[in-house]
Amino acid sequence: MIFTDPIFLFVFLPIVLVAFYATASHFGRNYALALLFVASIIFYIPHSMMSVILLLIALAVNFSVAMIITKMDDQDKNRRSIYLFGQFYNIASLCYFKYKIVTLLLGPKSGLIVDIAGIAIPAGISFYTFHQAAFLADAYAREKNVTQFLGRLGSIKSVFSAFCRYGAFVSFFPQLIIGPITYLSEFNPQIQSKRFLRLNPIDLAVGLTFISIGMFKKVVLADNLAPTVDVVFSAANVGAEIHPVQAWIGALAYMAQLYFDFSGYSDMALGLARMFGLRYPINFFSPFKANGIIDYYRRWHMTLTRVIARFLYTPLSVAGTRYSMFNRLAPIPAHLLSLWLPMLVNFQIIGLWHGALWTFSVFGLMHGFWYALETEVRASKWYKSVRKTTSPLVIGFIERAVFFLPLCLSLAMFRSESVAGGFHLFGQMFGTSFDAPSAFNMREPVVTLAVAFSIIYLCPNSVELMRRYRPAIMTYDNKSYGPAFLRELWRPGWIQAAAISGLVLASLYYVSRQPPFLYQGF
Amino acid sequence: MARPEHFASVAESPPPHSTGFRLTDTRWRAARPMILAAALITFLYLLLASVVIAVDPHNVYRWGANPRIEPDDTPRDMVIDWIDVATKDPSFNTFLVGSSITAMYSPEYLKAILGPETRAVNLSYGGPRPKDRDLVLDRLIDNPGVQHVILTFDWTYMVGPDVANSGFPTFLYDGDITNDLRMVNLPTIRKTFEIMSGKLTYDNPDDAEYQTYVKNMYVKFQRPSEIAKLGRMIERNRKDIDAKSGKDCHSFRSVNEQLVPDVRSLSGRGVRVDILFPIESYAFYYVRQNDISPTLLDEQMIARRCLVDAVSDLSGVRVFALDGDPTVAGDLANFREVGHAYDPAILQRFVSAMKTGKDRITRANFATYERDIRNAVKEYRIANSFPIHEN
Amino acid sequence: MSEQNVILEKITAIIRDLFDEYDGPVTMETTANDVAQWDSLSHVRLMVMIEMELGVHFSTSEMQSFKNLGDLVNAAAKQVG
Repeated sequence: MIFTDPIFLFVFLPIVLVAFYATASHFGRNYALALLFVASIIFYIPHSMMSVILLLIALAVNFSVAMIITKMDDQDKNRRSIYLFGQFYNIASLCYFKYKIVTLLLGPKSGLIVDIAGIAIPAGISFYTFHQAAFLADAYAREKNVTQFLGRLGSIKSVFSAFCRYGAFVSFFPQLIIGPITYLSEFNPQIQSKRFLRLNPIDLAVGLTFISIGMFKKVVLADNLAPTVDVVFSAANVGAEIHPVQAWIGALAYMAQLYFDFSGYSDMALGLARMFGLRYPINFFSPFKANGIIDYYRRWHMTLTRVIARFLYTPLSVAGTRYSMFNRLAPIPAHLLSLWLPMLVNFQIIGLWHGALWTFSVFGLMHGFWYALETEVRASKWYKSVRKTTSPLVIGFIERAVFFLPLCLSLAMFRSESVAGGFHLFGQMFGTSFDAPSAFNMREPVVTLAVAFSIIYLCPNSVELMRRYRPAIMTYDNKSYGPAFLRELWRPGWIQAAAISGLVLASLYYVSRQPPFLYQGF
Repeated sequence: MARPEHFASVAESPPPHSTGFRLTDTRWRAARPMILAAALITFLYLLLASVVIAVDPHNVYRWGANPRIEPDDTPRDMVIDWIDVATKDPSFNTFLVGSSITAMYSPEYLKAILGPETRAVNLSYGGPRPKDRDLVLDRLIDNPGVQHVILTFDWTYMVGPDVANSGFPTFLYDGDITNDLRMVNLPTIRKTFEIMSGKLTYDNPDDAEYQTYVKNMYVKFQRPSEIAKLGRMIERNRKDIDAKSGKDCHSFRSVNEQLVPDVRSLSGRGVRVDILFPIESYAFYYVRQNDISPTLLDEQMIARRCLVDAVSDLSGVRVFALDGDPTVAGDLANFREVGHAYDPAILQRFVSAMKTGKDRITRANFATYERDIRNAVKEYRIANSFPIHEN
Repeated sequence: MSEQNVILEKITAIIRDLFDEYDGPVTMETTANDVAQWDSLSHVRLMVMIEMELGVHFSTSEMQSFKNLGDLVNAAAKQVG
């Protein structure tokens, strides 16, 4: 199911909510979590039965490995091997089912194993795999939440109920398909808390507000920009002449579409979880207001940034730094080893995490170089002295101006159907095809774009709006940018209720049009 | 990434609140507007949904009302919601399954040319794609009253079999009932209440508006500045116009997996099937190679050849084309857009062909047809006999 | 306790050298948030410099798990002692 589908919002969600709080008050925590697990599997079934089976196998493998390495003694030599087996399973299933490694290596027509890989990519596989890989790493490091979460595991019954808790942790439907990728240290304290399971009406009000805002962003803003984006990018892919103004509208429309699609999803995920009394790590915090690519990645898909930094960038950078410091390398090779190389690898993986496409690879390369370059500039004496002598307002403006163009171009590459198509679009944006036939009617997309970018730059994001109710676990410390006088505080009242009703009704106007979220493809 | 997050302060767990009765009470009071609003919207939506599904205004279920399209009605783009209304109606025997290029044909027009026994309905809508086309044809295959199906073979058959027109309500016609709630939109709700008040027929969309739209399009297209712009484009694209695509009959999956099997089923049931190749101007290939495919001409010719090959031996199946004739496809005065004919005489000739059997394309004459078009397109210089000049 | 003090003193010297713009106090409670220059890149450099100075070794996950300087000093003290 997808969040914007009426059968989810008006049938599935109310039933699960009532069942959850009824189970919670009559049977307690374990049963309530088991109910969430079962409901999440039902939520997942429409994506395909094969995906459900694969998810259950992945849960069983990771849970067993975590259980075994938690019980094992530190001295036991097999502990590490069992842990590595678990991680190998995660990486291998990702490579097999998401990247179709077998198909890539052997070609599309080479027999039976290929046919298994030939099924559609299981929805959410890259999200739940990272989720579980992080959990296994915590279990291996004996993070204290893991032991508490798994419990005593003395009897079959206790193992089964621990498995259901684990199933709820990984596959809870608000975050199963598109994240946020959550750590157990964020989930476990909440379900251990006495407040969990108690119906708090404020949770419902906050949750409903998030769901309404998110739905509006996705259904009204993002989906209304989608047709323009599709026209421009498919034209670019076949090498069409595109009027420069229309090429720019296409690229900008994609920026706004991707923004509101993911932002809308993230809001809905936070809101849905909150209705069950759970807070999730924030994944999206006004990324286009960032003052550079470094700031951007602390605001865009933050839980992915954080998990990849933890498992990939930091170990690589530590190794590079150790090597260069022990060998007293000159500053330039030392920087290459401790910053540039780890950064390029990091972003290549972030790019390819979205799928095995050259456009993602080029996107990763662009962002890797950019990130490393910005790190160098910000560390330079020149930048520091400029920053001391210039007004922060001017600096903030210049930084955002410098940030915008490469961001627009790199996201256009990200969306392009081929690398050549991406470069062709760049050519048309800066080209002179003023004679090109008009590819679309401009009035509506231009108005939508104006509204979209005004919201992006002027309005507070939904977490800022609701900050009184601590709507999310902060993944990074982020500054709030933008006009402070517009950063009104939200509280549940009649006016706000009318406002969210307006948002929902506007979204329901488009109820017949339900394209999936963009990130569902990743 | 810039700051080691574990070194930063970790998100604090919520401070303990007393959950005494009074506090809970104030919370309920505070949250009441939101919860009421949500409950109200949910209730109203489900109520409307039950009414809509019980009444079944699009006739997709076995129960509910039996709405119908008037025999003289041309619903055009609105027809996408009413496919079942038309195909479950035993009073129709002729179905025109077309696209924007056939949207202008009214049932009376078809009857006047094809004969008095023709009881036609026009199921043309703009921009059909293989998946929705397949759903429409499946419905015709299930309908025992069908005697004659007229199909357009649009360029959109070049795309894959899973591609659907983004505005087409596939959720109404697929087997999945869980997505049917999506039909509860404003027009459907309005229609439901109309049906409940006794009005079982569908409103004729404004024909005058459509005529004006088409006419304006024609006038705009015929401006000398537009034609000159087109001429420059043709010259820019000339060098690649007959580039080879490297495709063969296996390349067109939608044709092989959907269209041909559907036509075969209809033919097997004794239904007459007439397939029309759209009347596209020779300029069409220069303009649309820009955004459809760089090798559009080659692909279109191969796809048409494969289709003719595949359906030639089926009984009652015929293929027609007018664009082999340079006085039709070579003169832009006949068009309101490079891919849409406007001239009433040409549009009439298209329908009459099905009666007279002229302008048929068969396996025997396809090679000539293909060679004529390839040459005509390759050698095409802009030609327009339109009399009016820009003032 | 004196062991910890010695280590903190050595670390303070490294911090003063690495984060030359910072002139606030360096205590067991200091965190990365207190020091503007302390980003992920300099965090890694700091860790490796401390490793070299004290002759200790931190695992990557250890480096990311310290909540403040106190955690770091205690972890180093365990290895030195």
